[in-house]
Amino acid sequence: MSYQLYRNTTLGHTLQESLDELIQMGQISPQLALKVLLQFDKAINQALASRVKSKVTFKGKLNTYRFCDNVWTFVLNNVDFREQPAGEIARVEKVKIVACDGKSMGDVK
Amino acid sequence: MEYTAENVEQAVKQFYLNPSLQSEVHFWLTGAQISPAAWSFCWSLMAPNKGLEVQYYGASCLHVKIVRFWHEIPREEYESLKSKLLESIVQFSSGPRVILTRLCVGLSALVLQLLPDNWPGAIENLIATFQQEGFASLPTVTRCQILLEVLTVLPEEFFSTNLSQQRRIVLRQELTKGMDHVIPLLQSLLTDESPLEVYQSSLKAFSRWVDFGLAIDRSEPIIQQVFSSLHNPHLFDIACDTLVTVFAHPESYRYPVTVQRLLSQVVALQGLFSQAVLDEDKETCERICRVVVSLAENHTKLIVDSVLGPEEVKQNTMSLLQMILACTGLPGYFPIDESCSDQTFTFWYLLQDELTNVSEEDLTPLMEVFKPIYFMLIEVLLVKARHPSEAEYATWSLEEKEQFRCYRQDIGDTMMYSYSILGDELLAQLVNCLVTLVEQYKHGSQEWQSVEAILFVFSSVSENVSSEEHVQIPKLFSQIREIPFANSQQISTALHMIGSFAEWMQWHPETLSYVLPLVLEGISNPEVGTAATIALKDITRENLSNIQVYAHQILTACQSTLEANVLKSRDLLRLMSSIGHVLSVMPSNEIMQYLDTMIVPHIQHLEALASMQPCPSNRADVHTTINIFAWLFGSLDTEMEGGEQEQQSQHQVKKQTQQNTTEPKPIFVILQKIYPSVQKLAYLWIFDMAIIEAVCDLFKKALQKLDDFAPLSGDLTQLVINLYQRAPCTPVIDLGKQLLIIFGLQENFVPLSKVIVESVCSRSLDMFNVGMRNYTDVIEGFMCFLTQLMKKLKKFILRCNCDLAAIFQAAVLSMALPEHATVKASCSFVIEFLNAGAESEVIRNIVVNHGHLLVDRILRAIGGESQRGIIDYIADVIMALNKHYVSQLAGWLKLMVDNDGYPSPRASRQDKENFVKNLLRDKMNKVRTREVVKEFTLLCRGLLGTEYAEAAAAFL
Repeated sequence: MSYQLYRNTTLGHTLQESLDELIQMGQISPQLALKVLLQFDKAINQALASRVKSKVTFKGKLNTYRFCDNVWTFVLNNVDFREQPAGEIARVEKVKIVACDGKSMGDVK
Repeated sequence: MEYTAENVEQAVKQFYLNPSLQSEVHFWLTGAQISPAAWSFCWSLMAPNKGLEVQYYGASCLHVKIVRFWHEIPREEYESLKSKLLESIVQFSSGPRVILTRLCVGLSALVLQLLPDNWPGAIENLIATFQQEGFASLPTVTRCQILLEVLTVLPEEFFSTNLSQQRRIVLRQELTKGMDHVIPLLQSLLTDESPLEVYQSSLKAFSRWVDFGLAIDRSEPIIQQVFSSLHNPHLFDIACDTLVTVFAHPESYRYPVTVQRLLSQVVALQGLFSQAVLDEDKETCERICRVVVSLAENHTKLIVDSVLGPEEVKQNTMSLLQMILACTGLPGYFPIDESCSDQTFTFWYLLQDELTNVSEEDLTPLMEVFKPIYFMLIEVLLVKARHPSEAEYATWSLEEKEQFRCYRQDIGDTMMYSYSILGDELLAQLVNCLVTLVEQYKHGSQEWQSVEAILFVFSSVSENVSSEEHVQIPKLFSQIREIPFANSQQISTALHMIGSFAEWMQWHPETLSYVLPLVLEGISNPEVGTAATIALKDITRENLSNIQVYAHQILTACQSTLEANVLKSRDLLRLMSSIGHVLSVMPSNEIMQYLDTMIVPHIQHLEALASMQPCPSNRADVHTTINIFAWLFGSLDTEMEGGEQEQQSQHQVKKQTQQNTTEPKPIFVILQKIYPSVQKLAYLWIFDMAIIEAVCDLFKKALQKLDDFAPLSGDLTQLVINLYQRAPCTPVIDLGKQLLIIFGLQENFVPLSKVIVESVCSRSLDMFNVGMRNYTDVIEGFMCFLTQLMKKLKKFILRCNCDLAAIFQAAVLSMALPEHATVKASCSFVIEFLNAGAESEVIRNIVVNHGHLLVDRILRAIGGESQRGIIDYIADVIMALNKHYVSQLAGWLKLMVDNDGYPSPRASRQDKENFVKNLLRDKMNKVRTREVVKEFTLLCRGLLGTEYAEAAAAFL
């Protein structure tokens, strides 16, 4: 099974909105919607792990951090995002990072 | 049209012949496939006289029917179906291959349907049938191949078929039992006597059974045979794939002893590998590399444990590590001369990860073994990270260059991991290496690429270097001065490396004197401008407390660069940011002196631009010139940026000295000078969002830094109002919001605040009459603006001449927009507005008179008109209503209960009554209110109790 955190992205939200709508209109069953959602988890985990070539680094002041249930959460202030070697992409006042261990993905049940 | 064999045959032909009808025919054929008639017409379509496409469709139909429509077949027909299928397989035994494969897949599906009760011992039975001499008069090799084909697709079918958990358990047991017959069969076929095609099919079948779960200890003799088949060129590729499957299987770690035994076989591939390298046989190299890496990657723990084991095991493990090193260090450039060395990076990462998990007392002996390996790795990577010659690099495609860039990043990461094993010893090694290389380079016996590669590697490990490191890094920087730089690539890498140590320099300010000359030389060279300005920005930002002594040097260099006007716009902006940082640590009189000389040309340029008519050719120039000031304002006088205590205290002292003087702040002086031009440009480019955004950004940054903005406040207010009147947009409304929050209640600003509020509100309300959906971002900004006002300037807003009832209705309308952020902002405002009703009679009356509209909007959203993701915001609005307007809410909800089919036909009267009862009961409990609303919305949407709703809910 794959991590579900990417459901909480624009792509994930819009997918779920579309699925909701299809169920409400009677076009698909909730079971099929669930399958689509699980397939989305699988596909996006795989795609992000294997197809992303670009590398972005960032730096900022660490405001808070926690490690709970194997999930790291960092809140950073004044973060500079930088694409190597092209230069800055953006400067953001507040960033929240939620990170899971990619290696233990196979163990997630 | 009836689903007869003739009609279906015609349809299949049409499908391939007539592309314009394809989608229509496809739809019909799908219908045919799922109709019960397919059980009979599929056989007719497979008749020998039919075309290949028709036969294929027939075979596919049969498979689909067996998998998905099994319930349509009565039990008494199982046996005849089986016989018919076997007959068809015999019929197609000599081809076409695609049909045979499809039928074998169909037979596998049949096995999975019939096991265990209706075809006990199916696998054993199949093996026996096909092994019978003379079965259907087929030649031995053909029988063997059909059997192997079925055995190959059977485990695949098991994984691809949709089965219930219980059924899957039963079938897994059955197939596991079947393995007792499959293993001896494969073993007997994987011999040197077997014909090549049988051998190949056996290897494929074996791989699939390994995937299924055939344990490697049981199959060890077969695996040994696979190794020996590596020496046959016709079997090499498929044997390598099989071994990768074996080693990469998730369960293989359970058999360490077997893996250790197999290790000697992998190590024995060294000869083959070396020969392939010599022959420049890329494909063989790549496949052996895959085998080696799949073993190493999946058994890192075993590798770590083995190096301290018995001598033979230890030797084999060390040889394996050497082989991986050889794979990492394949001769030539990635991805041109070789394309597999990158496969090894994951292993090096996993290995260091495994080692960092070892307890401290066990680590010492392990480090004695692994440190030398990592040192060798560093040597190898330093070579692989080198750029090719300029001439060669010029022949690479963009894609290849990009792959090489990614590859170097991976090398950098691997170096970083190596640092966690080698620590400062790595730095010492790199420094020694750099000293030698630079010496050789100076004497012409070394290329620039080797020096560049090592500088690149230093930047990769920079983040890990402790601030206390004071031996090696100073040596690095003193060595930098010795390098006679050859080209811009080399200089850029050196500059990136310098920038990457900016934070470390905070603790070693003496280094600045070594590096700054190089960086400052760089900013005047457009070819390396990007790297130089990034380095300078990092250094100045991180070293505010150390930079003062170099301030003059830096500013003079910046000034010359500005005068030369050679930098790209983005680099120029970055340079302004550094100038701001450096000026921040200087006394204010000096700041003005520098600024006068550096900024005046830009002010003049801005004035010149302001006198031109807008046209596409000067747009970029306008944008950059405005941003130059914005970036300068962003970094100049940065006392609010936090940072180290020492820095802060220095700033405070400086701030006090500045405050003692009556001089205006430098930003204010500049702003006064540029204001007329900026204003003019804003009016000229009023419909250009990027330029308006830059203008607003400039003012926002200035506002953040200035305590006394009063002299310009009137003009700026007028600008905000005029811009918003003519072209409403979010940056302008945000600037207005910031003005109000900072100065809103200052006595001399109050009249201006009033004008801003009234004008923004009246103009924003107009948007609701002309296609509000086109302005959803501006509406979001407007709602955020109102929320802030309600929170911070509530009394003030009541004194303004605004149509609060219209504003309230507008907020209700915008709650129906599709964008989450807009709905969230609207709900926030509505909540503030509802709460304000507790103190203000005016607001209370508005809510009482128009609240039914709000409740209608809320109920429609819950009923399914809005996305589920916004329901929590809606629930919070209900909570605010429930707090201050209890009796009115009960009345409005009563109307809903009485209105049949509203807000959703799925909600019965009883459901609605329960919903209302629960809402009114739990009115003070936010969590409970959200739960009640969530449950009701799921009911209205037909999602209540579904697993899908559960799965999705947590993330919406």
